[in-house]
This record gives sequence, structure tokens and C-alpha cells, in this order.
Amino acid sequence: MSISVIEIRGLCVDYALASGVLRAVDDVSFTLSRQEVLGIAGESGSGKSSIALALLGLLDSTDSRTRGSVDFDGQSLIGLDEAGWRGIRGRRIGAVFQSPRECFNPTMTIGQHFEDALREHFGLSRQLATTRTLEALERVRMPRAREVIGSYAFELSGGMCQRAALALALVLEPAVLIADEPTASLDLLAQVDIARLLAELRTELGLAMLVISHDLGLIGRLADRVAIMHKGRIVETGPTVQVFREPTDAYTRELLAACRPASTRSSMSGTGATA
Amino acid sequence: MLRFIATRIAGVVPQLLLVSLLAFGIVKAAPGDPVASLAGGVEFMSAADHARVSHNLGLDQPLPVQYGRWLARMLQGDWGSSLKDGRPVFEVVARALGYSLLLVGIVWTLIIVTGIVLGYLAGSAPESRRDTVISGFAALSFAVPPFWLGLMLIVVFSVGLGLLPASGSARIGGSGSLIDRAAHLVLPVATLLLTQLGPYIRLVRSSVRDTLSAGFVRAARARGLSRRTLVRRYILPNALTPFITWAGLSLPLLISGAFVVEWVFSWPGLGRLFLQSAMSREYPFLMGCVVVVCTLVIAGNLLADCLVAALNPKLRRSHAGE
Repeated sequence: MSISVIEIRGLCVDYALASGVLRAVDDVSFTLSRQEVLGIAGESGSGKSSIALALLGLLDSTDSRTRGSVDFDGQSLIGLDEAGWRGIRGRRIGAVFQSPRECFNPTMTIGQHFEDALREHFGLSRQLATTRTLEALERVRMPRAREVIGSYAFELSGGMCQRAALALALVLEPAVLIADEPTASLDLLAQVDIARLLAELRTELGLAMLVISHDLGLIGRLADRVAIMHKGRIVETGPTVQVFREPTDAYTRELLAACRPASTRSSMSGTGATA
Repeated sequence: MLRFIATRIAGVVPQLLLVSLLAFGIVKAAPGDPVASLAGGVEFMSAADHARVSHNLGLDQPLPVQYGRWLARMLQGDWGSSLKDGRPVFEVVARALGYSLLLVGIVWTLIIVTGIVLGYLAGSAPESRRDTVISGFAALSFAVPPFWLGLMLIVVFSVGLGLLPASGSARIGGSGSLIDRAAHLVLPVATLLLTQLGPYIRLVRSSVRDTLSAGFVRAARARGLSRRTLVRRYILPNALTPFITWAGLSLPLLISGAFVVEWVFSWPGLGRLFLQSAMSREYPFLMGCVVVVCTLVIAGNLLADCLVAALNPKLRRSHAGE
């Protein structure tokens, strides 16, 4: 395996709650290699999203505490200052989240989001930004891209919003893309669309991806390796095919059994759409 | 956008008519005989004189006729004259309005600036010491009645320290210099500002808190945008929408607060004129004040509507699509 872009060792994330301390992530370690797709699967509340937030330095320091080491490209992200984070967030590590419509500022057009990002990271003028935006939107096969630039998120469907969010993450040419529940809030057809798009982008761009989802169908389709999370810990990890076929951990077996109807459904609609 | 504003302005016309009707109606329904009070009481006037004066003033006509005439004259800028000393209402009300606009305008501007700044400082660091101090101040501002604070400020700064004038808009017999006028404004402005600021701070604080936890702010931070861009383009435009609505809608509160403050500091504005006219049953002045104050309130709402629409594309687009 090639050199790793992300290396996490003994990551713990604690949240201070009124009732005490909640350990959301408990001694988690994994690496992500170049061009690799790692799936992190688990039920909601298993600590998956906290890992994404820790990787982006977005955990609120007033009510949470992070321990362990998080390295990106050999550089430690722990204790980075705000200016240091700005060079990482978006530019080196891109992210898309669930509920894509809510990820766009309702007072700005889709195009203005691209403008802000391209101006701050690359110092691009408005005109150059528009050219780049169009390219990025076409890369995610956005229909009527020119129109979308002047639209607001509330005027687009959920699937189109997620496409736009993906384009917005990719326009900054990150080395790693974190997809945190990228299909969770979408309708079934849009889920299939976005999953296929992610698979295509992955082969086209050779992007390293961290796909965080409770949807084992999505993970099975995209991920080379999978880490199964339960109550903040990684209970099993390995090549996706192997883990799905011969799970060794009891929780993994339980999860696979629970997801079977969902995973057969998504693979069926997937083949239906390709045919 | 222009169409949206035009629709809103068209909607204002019936509101204004209703206001004029109310102003007319309320004053007509008020107790007391204005004709008799001219002579100092009904016992000082013969029935014939009473009828003659009533006729001259048009007070013997049916109410709809009185209203129609009154409205027509109002629209021409002829607002009648004082029942007692013949001063023209339009000019007196206009002068008072000037003073009120000066006071309320300054306070409104200060409230908007300090409300946004303090509310943002509190809301962006919830439960911090900074938040506790600012929120405490906001609660205090809610609780303190303006007449009490006004009197206390007079006691301390005018009577005690002799630093600032306690009443009026300029020194009597003075040159009316800018400094003198500004000195007369300090205490009324301070009283009104300190007693009105609370809700504005609270509103900005809570909507900044809400906006900070919104998905698009997290997503924007995840894109590595600078703090400046985040605050100016993502947080404030969204957090200030309810504030702008409230800044427009709360204009009546500010104006009624100004009534009390004008009274305490003998500030020659609409509030003082209104209260004086109410006490001496000067109906023309009362009606003039009511119409002007209501128009201000409607204008405040209109302004807020248009600003919110300018900031909120959802509203703007849905109206453009009509």
C-alpha cells in the first residue's frame, strides 16, 4: 500500500454534557492511503461524524476535548492554529455533509459560494471563478449548470444540492474528500445518483475518500476498506468484501443482518438504473 | 424588487385611511366639550353663542361630512389651527416632529449599531463572562422604567454634577450653538437608549447563536473561509433578518418610550405636544399627532419589509414570480 494521507492514532473525543462526560470516539486508529476509499460504518451516535469533525478541526473546544494524534500528509493537525486550519480545511481536506440544502447560505446564490471559496483560497477574480465554477459543476454532471450558478439552494432539489456541494468541495482540489452521510437525507433515486457519481469521481480523479455512512449498501459500493464503529470504537476493520462476506465481530454480523433489506434494495435499484 | 415595494406601498394606503378614521373617531368620542372649553366652561356661554361657535368650527355637521372635510384639508396640508390661540396645527406638529425625529432618529441609529455589536459579542461566545455581562445589562435595560432613569440622570448629571442641562432643546436666550443643542440631547438620548436597548441585544444574541449552529456556517468553516467572510457574508445577513423586522416593528415602542422621555426632559417633540394637547383638549393637535405617529409606525414597518425582502432572496423571488 502507498503512503498514507491521513493517519489517526488513538483518537478520543469527549463531549462535556450536563450529566457528565460522553466519550463519543474511543481510542480510534486508522490510516487512509492515497487514492483509497475508506468506509466508516455504524449506527447513528456511534461517533462516526465526530471523527469527520476532528479531521476538520471543527469540534467546539469549549465543550469537547480531543486527544490522540491526527496527521495529514505527515503534518500533525492537533493544536493547529486558526490560520493553519484555513490552509487545510477545504483546500486539502474537502467535505460534504448530509442535508445538502442546509449547507448553502440561504441569502447567497450557489455561484457566490464558489466565488468566496475560490477568492479566499486561490485569489481568483469573479470572472475566473465563474469559469472554474462551471467546470466544477460540469464535472459533477450538473444539468443546466449556468442556471444553477444564479440559483439559490431552496430552488434546487436535494440531489442537485448535493451535486453542487460536491462540486464546491472539489473545486478547491482537495487531496481527501470526507463524505459524511452524503446520501442520508436524499430520496431513493437521488441516493443512487449520488452514489454512482461518487464512484465515478473516485476513478476519474483518483481521490482519497472517507465515506461515513450508516448505509452499508453505499459503503459496499464505494469503499475498498471498511471500519465498523460501535459505541465510539472500531470493532472490526478490513477489506470491504471480506468484512461483508465473513464478519468476525458479533456487532458487525448484527449490523449486516439489520441492513440486509436496505442493501439488497440499493443494489437492486443500482442495477436497475444501469440497465 | 421594485414591484414588491410598489405592492407594499399600495397596501399602505388603506392602512393610512384607517388611521385617519381612527384618529378622527377616537378624538370625536373623547369626553369634554371643546366649544365650551373655549370659554372656560359651559356656564360661561349662552346657547346661541355655543351654536354659533359650533357652526363656525363646523362641529354641527354630520360626522361623515366632518371627516370628509377634515381629510380633504389634511391632504392639502391645511391641518386647521388651535382651538385656543389659533396657532396653525401643521406648522406646530411639523416643528415637534422635527424634534422627535432628531431624538428618535439618533436613538434608533445608536440602538441598531450597539444592538448588533453587543448582541453579536454575546451570542458569538455563549455562556462566557462577556455574554453574562452583556445579557445582564440587557435584562437591566428591560426592567428600568424610562421616567425613573430620566429623573435619576437629572439628579446626578444636572443637579448633582451640574454637567448637563436637564430640560428643553437649547438654553433660553442662548445663541443656540451646536454644542449647546448637543448638550441638551445627551440625557434624553441616554435615557431612551438605555431603557430600549435590552430587547434588541437579546434578539441579536439569540439569532447569532442559532445561526452559528446552522449547517451552512459549519459547511463554510469546513471550506476554510476566513472569519471576516464568515461573519460578514454568512452569519450576519442571516442573523440580522429577525432583527431588522423587529427594528421596524418596534418603532411604536420607541416612539411611546420617547413620549415619556420628552415629558421628563421637556423636549419639544411630538410626545410632549401630544400629552399637552390631550390635557387641554386641543383636538386639532391631537389628531395631527396621532396621524403623524401612525404614519411613522407604518413607514417603519414598510422600511423593515423592504429591507428584509432585500436580504431574503426567498421572499424576493416568490414575489417576483407572482
